[in-house]
Amino acid sequence: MPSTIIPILKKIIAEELDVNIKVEEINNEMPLLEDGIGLDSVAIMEFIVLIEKNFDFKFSDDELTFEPFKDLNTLAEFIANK
Amino acid sequence: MLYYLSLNLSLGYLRPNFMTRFDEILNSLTQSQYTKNNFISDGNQQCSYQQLTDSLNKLQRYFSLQTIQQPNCIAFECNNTLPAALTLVFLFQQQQSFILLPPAGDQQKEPDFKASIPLFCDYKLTISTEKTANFQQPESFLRLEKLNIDNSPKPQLVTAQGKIYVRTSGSMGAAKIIVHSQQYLLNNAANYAQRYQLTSDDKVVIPVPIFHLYGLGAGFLSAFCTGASIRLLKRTNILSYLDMERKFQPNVAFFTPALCEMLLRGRKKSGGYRLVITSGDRIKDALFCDFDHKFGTLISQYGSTEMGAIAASNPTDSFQQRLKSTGKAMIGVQLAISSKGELKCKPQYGFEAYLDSHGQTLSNPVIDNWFTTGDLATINAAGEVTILGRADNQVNRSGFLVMLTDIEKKIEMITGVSQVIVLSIQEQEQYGRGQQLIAFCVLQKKSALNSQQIRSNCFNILPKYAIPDKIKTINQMPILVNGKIDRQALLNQME
Repeated sequence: MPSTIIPILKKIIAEELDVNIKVEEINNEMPLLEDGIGLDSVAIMEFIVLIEKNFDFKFSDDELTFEPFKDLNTLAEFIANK
Repeated sequence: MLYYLSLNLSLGYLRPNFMTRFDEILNSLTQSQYTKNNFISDGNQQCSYQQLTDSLNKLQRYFSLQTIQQPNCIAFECNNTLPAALTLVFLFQQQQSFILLPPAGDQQKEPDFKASIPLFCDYKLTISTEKTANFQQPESFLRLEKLNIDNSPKPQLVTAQGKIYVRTSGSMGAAKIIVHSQQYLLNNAANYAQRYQLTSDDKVVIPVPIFHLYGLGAGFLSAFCTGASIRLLKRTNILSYLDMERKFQPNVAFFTPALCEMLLRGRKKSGGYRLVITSGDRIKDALFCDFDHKFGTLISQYGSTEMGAIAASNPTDSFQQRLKSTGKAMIGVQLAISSKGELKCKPQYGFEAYLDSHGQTLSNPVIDNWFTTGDLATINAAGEVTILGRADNQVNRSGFLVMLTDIEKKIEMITGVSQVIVLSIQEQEQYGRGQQLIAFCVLQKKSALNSQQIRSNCFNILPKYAIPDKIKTINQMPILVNGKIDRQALLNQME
């Protein structure tokens, strides 16, 4: 369920990635990359690895596109369907 | 020695051999059946070599309408886009002198950027990153701005045609301006192309910045003068990289160790590359082995902003040779090891001078064209060079000479430690101990080590005099845009 997934993703971003942001500052529609939360190349790579660990699945190469990483809603939806 | 493109009929592709002038390279590229349908792309737009002539003519028209007089030196804020690449090609074609600068957004990441545009530049050229930028309409992507300059007579080195100026990347200390001739840079590029065995059949991806000499000389120009298809990539991350791979399917890539690590962690499929070239900081043996095994032949190259191409492995070298060395000297380059163990180099196509911001030549302690690289190295009987580390990373501690890279390698062997950089602080020299050493450690994920534990571990693996005085754990290494570790930023963290 996306609604249970989003808090976990927020916690990963705020606590495990090297990004200067608090859980309460993250909203579901914020773009994850540049202009939004601003995950840089290292943080995106970490984020992917942590999602795979937390939700126990692997992204295939073809799934690693910009689409699922648009914002938290989209990403949670994607993970829920795995 | 001059180069030209020669047609290898038996193989059916072009390969740079002995090159003449840039316009002759352009002629071959735009007309040869082996190259004219190859292209340069940035993912948004692509320009075939056949379309080059038209694009360059349009650029010429744009410039003749914008400038009242022939510029001396243009400050060019370049980026990894097709419009920027075409502008570079145009500046080379016109032998217009320019200084290569990072795009404005990246400038604050560079140290000492206050002094970015030298006072001898009379125009500034920027490339729009708007979606509306169309490579066939220069006015949609170029902005040429006249700079306020004093009209005092300029030194000859900054009024000459056919020069390219580069700021030293300065991982330590203040930046200087280096003068190269554009022709020499092309000769270096052809030298690289030959060593990498590039051909017009190759599809070359360049995710490293082309506003640095590695991306420009070793990467872009060597692929360009071969007539290979080129894909430029900016703001590289695993998503943009895999997206590029699906569409472009490169077989040659110009990387840094950080990019090698990114692809190794992020891509599940193996294979795909004929050749990947890496440069910058030393690459860890484990990373080299895993990457080479998974994706294809990895080679390292060694060059410097001042001396151009110095050495590079050959794709046909054995795995052990490629792992243990950066290959043999480039054609025309002489190498030797000084009595202190430093690599010395006599390049055929080296730089011309160091300048200050006014264009005045700075003193340059060079004897008989032999330059000291500042790197410690060994050369084996076969002539293969192994770079050991920066010579100035060697410090005297309690009377012992210690190589900082040795300490780094030892600490990296502690379970839970991922990457280590050791720096010395000269101002804080301690009584009897020599310079103070600080180790910056990036820990492996989930590692619960703290600085104190790392330091106590050091007592088991290092001699007393080599144990860093301070250990600082950090989340990640600060990286300069050229892919090297930003040592200055690390030092700033201590203040």
